[in-house]
Amino acid sequence: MSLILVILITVLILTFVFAPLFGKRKKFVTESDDVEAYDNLISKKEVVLHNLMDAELDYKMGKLTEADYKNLQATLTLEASLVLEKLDFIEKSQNFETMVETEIKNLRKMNDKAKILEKSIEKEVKTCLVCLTENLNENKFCNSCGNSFEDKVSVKTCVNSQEENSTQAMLTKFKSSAKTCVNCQGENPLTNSFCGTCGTKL
Amino acid sequence: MADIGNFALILGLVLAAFTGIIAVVGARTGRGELILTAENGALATVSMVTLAVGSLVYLLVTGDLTINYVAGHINKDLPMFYKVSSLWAGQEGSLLFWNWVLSVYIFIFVLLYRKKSNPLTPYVIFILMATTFFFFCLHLFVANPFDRLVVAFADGTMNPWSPQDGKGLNPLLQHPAMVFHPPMLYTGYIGFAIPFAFAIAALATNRLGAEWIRLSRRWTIIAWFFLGTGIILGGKWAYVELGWGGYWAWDPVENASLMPWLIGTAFLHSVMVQEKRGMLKIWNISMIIGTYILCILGTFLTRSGVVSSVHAFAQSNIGVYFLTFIGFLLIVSLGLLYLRLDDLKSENSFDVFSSRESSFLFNNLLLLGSCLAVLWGTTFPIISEWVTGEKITVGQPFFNKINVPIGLALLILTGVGPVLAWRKTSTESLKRNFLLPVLLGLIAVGISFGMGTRHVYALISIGSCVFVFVTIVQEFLKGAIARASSTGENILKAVVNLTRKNKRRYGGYIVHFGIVLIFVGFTGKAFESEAHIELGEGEEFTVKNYTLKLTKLEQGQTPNYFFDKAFLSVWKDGKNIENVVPERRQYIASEQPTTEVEIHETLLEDIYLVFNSRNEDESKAEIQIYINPLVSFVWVGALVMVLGTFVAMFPDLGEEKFKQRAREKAEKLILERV
Repeated sequence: MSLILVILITVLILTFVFAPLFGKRKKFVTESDDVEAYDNLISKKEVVLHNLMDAELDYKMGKLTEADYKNLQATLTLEASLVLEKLDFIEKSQNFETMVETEIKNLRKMNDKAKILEKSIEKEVKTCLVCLTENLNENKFCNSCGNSFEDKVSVKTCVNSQEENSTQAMLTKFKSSAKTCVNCQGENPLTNSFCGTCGTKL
Repeated sequence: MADIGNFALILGLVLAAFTGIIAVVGARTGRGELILTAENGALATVSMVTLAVGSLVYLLVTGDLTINYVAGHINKDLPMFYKVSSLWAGQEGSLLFWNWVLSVYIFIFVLLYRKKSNPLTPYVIFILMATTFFFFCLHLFVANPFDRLVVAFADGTMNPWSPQDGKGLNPLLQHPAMVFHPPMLYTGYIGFAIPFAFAIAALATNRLGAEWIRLSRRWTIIAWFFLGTGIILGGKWAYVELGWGGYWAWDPVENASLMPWLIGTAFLHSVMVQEKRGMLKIWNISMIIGTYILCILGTFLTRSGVVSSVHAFAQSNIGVYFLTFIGFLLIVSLGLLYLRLDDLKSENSFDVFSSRESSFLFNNLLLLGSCLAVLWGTTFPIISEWVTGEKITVGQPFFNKINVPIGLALLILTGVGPVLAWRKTSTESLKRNFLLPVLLGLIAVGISFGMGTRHVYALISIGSCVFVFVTIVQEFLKGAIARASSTGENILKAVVNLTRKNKRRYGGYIVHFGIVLIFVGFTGKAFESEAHIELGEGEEFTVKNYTLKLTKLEQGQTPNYFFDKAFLSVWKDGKNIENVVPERRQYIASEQPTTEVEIHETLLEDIYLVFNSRNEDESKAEIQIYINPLVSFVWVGALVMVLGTFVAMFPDLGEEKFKQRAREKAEKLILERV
């Protein structure tokens, strides 16, 4: 009886303990030094703000003279503004970094698509720009997702183009690495958010 | 069941070692599935300790006398209540219980931080697993609670054996306070493992900001609360059970629990300086390391028997294991601390002497001084034995001589600190805020002197208690008036809301008030009186304004013990106020005599009666009488401290609103400045 119980407990415990090793590999995502510094600043901000409230209460309770309170308030306000400035700086630089990272990712995606298109020209096949499936050149619809190779709207969705949907033309568009304005058809660098010619949001 | 218990201990040992290693490997390699495995491993280890404890409790309750521990600590007629509490009555059981309390902490910790990707978590798990691994080693190799009783036959073979009945529980431990005192104390001792583990994790990961302080704050207060409550319950037990008329005797084991409490108290104050001003970072880490090491040292002193004590319920040679573990903890923690010294520099420095942070520093130095004195006095017999070969015990006068003045200085600081502002307090404010408390304190001293008190420490204590009490009342009132003037609330509502909005600060003041009450109780020691009398049936004796009449003497037997009772009626100013029955007992199983004292308790005075023995012809009872003034204040003060700790510990419900208001105010101020 005891032996059965012991075996049963051992199996249960080992299954429970080792179960995560048989699942998907997961990265132990911990905060980077920057995030830690950011968190520290956040708690520092709370502390300074708390200190300001305490100083006010101490003043009202008569622990601080008016002159001391004003001095302390000025010091704490300076501390608070420095902390807030640092936080502001990190937040802004984080926004900028996120923006640059997004742009790089977009460029990489476009580059990948361009490579696929180049290959499809070499192979004389049509590549669907929605699901990237290779189709025979004579196909009018993608055999995977049903995207129409004739439908200009669907093609335009993929490549910002209202022109012919030939693979060669699309490739040219990609290679130009430009955003085409839907209003005036003007070419814009990828980093532009608004059209340089007519000001339409890209 | 003993086999299941042994199996749980072996599997627990393996799991603890595996979990500790895998946690650190997971953290170093950044592999999340390893961390998850470690978290599951920690929970599995917890389940193994629980299984072992469950097995031992089962063996105790069913009275399996083939097990050495069971036969040594229970007897058939022992009430069920005490059969369960026998778990922590002896060495093997109490060490297992220690490990189980630790595992409860581990369980709560893992559940709270599971899958949260906190970089400190794996290292905290490592430290906790190292501790539990150490205890598993003790269970398996030094003090196994599941060892069976064996008897050697003439042919040299060892065979299982069981006695007719067990030896029974130590009579001194057969008291309701004993059911709660050890678990409370253990919960306190072991609770400091979590903040210690956070500190080590912070050092290991070099994340030395306010994060580890923030995460470990509540754990620290919980541990401090349980340790303090355990100490007070121990005092209550000593008072009502040991029969020498007092509640504190500077016994080595009492000291062992007091030391981590003193340093833990210092830590609770000094972390505020780090939170508020980014100072004392090295000090704070050292304080929590010191607290935890003292907790382990306390367990070592209680369990090793290196010092003689009223608590020497179980002694053995486990000292060397504890010293090795303490050495390991010291090397790891101090080594890491040394490596991170450069990263632990203070962000500010002390501006002036008259500031809140300076008062905290003084409080820390005094608490540390007191702790070192207690440590020296407690370990002196061991040191003297090592050096001279002779055990020289340090008595109560040594401890009192050093700790009474330090205690009074700390009491005064309890009043001074809150009145000081952070960074700087002007002389004008000092005069204004201290005038009334100092004046009332001096008046109290004058009145006491006028009433005949000549004991210097008692006079200082009375003056200090009044001084601190007035500062606390002043804090609440001035805060409430300030709040009432800005919110329009009435004073009572303002006091409640003020406390509700800043629970930590005002909860702390309530704890300080509890301390004042406890010191009032201590002061009563100066006015104690005692008498030793012989009374026959129908005789009476008068001491101060009390008269004792012995109505009868009675002897008899219960299944557990023989008894001898003295029926006494207590009269005060001609009125019968209580009938009491102090008793002597002779326990059958353990063959130990005890005295069951009777205490007539009032807020101002206790009459403490001990039936010591009978005279030669057994016709008269020899009674020891103690008149102990103000002892009740110690227990009431402890309750107030509990209340204050609860207030300080619970989450601030209005915190978000408060922060929002603080944020708006600060942003407005900054805009004005810009």
